[in-house]
Amino acid sequence: MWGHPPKGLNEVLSVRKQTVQLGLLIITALFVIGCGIKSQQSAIFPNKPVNIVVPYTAGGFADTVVRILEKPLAKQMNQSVVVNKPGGSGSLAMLEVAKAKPDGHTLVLATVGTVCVTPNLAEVGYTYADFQSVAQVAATCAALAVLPDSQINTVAELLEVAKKKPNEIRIGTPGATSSYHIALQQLAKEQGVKLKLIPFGGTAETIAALLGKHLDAVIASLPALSPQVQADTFKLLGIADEERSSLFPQVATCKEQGLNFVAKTWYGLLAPQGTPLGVIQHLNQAVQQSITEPAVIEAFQKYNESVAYLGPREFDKKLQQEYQYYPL
Amino acid sequence: MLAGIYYGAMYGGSTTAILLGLPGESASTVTCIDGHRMAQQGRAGAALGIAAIGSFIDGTIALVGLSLIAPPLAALALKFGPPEYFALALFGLFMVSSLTNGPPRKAALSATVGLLLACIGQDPIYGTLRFNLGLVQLSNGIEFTVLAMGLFGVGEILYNLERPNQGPLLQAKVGRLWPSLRDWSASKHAVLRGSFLGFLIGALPGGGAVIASIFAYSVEKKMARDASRFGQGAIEGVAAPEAANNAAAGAAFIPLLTLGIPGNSVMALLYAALMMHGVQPGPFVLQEHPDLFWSVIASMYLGNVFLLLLNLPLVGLFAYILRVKRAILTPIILLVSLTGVYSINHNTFDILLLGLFGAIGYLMRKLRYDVGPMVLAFALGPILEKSFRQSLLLSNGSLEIFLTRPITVVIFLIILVVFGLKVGVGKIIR
Repeated sequence: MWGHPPKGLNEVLSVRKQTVQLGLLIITALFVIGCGIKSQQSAIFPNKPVNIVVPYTAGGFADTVVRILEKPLAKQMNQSVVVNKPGGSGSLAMLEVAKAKPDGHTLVLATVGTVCVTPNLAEVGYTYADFQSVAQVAATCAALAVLPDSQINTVAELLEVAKKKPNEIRIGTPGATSSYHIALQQLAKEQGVKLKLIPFGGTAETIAALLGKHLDAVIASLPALSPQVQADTFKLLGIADEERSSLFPQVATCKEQGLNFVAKTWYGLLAPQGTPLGVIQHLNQAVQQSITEPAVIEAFQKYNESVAYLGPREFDKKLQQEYQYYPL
Repeated sequence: MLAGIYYGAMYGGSTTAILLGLPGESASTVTCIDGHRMAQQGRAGAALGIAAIGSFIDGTIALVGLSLIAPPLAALALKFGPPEYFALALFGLFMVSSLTNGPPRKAALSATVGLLLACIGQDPIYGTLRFNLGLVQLSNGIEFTVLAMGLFGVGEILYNLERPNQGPLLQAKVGRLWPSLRDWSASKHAVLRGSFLGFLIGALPGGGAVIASIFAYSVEKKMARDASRFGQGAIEGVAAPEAANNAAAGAAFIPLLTLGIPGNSVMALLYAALMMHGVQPGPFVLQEHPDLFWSVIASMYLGNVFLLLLNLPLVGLFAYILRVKRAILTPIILLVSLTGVYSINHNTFDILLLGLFGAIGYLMRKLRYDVGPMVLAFALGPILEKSFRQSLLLSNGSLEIFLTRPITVVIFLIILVVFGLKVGVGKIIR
């Protein structure tokens, strides 16, 4: 299309070519030297921004946990960046972090669902063993609620009724693969009762269905239920935690009602397996300091949630235990 | 302020739908059908204008509705349990059939494929994975935007590549930038009806703007004297669904502000934002924070006015996009689609899927199948399946549950009358 350039131009071009080649050589040399310097530096952590991957969309509570922690964490480690990757019900983000370079610069916000339920459910390419705990940060528990005019007052009573009328108590859950659904199924099996569990697409839908009297009870996280309980549109039957909640100290735990039922959603930070212990300790220190800041504690309280710290060893143990608790 | 952004985004979706044929969100899919056709005929100005002014009018209606009848409407919305949602979604599916002018069997096939594609991912009741071909990327199903942009946007681009003409998309003049008086009189009732329908359906926590826009479009088509204009660039076909999805956007605040239930993901974001400011969204918001309720309404109204002021002068500018040479415009549209799709999940797999659906969209155009029914059936599929199976769980497997509840019975009767008559009359004529 352009035809052949005249000879003079050709010579000019070849001189230029040499210059370009020389330039490239210098750049390559600089690059190699640069890499040498960089690899020496990497002993110091952190040497670049720490990425925290959130396997959920922006706006949910899991995302909020990270957003609350982001500022204080950034103060202590260079800077941190939050990335939302909600694809594949969160397993894409988990998989990516599991395979990331284990140098502490890539972390993931993990919940009971992505670490202990999903890998049990399907072949997703990772399990809890592909991660190393940094710290558990916050935890919420499940609670069961009914409409205020219901005859049932406790979880124990609910199970009594269900024993007499199997498959009649309709209980809405946040989803078939939610940990609360599975935990409630386990409880029913243990107690030898038949409950009618109806999965919805999230807590909001479940609450609407109970308000509209399409269900007899719901299981949902306590913070999600609390506005309805405070407004007396719902009545709490019991709390699936070790201890009573400071929000509703008058409501008995399921344990107090004689049931072995604890269902909690926890939020913590995990690093890829193989991250050096020193780096984990560094990260853990930063998290510990962040969650003791009054501003952070106050921010969690606004969401009716509270800080719940666990160190790397305890958190690792918990992951293993819960992984075995949630088979489908 | 967040409320204002939400509102603006709701409108922005229709601009790309009309100009480029790219429905950025499910609610503007229906707008795409007649809106993009209008743009190709040189009536982009009229389409954009009616969408902007229509948004303003129905935004106003929605706000008046929100201020006056929010609590009773919320109480009505709660009456919708799984069986009612199923009936509504089924009605929507029937309505999808009226979106096309081609032979019904082609629309039915297109819709069926859409329903099947909606099954990919997690079973809503048992939680098991199905049809995901062992791919983790598909374990949550196909992203709506990927499917819609692929079938509509990329499919259209591929189809146009075949034609030798590489000049501007639009040969004729851009045409008048304002809707004419005739456009107005044709669409004023459409806007009113669309707003009304959108407001009612939008108030359902699990309903939403897609169903509202399908309903509004079908109603207009049924009311029209000459239904064949629909799909060929009928202005009512833009005005009604736009009005409906904007009114639905306003009504979506009802469950949040009166019951403390976030009906969709945007509302969930607002819910979190309110909590960050120390406001607990719940049944008491109206009593405890009346200032909040009214400031949301005020910010939405301001957003509405600004949208009108910002958009009207820009309508002309936007419309001139179509004068750009196709060789320049096409890569830009493609780039916008790719970036848009990638930004949802930050996942390169979605880009491959976009290409795949682009190819399917191209083949469907070649074989004269409408992509609209496929996209809309895909949007309705999950609601349809989940609510059907939830209902059966509630009733221990008995179908009686659909016939013993007043709302479902009424909806089924309407389906029977509207579509039964059509089939019946058709038989008598033959």
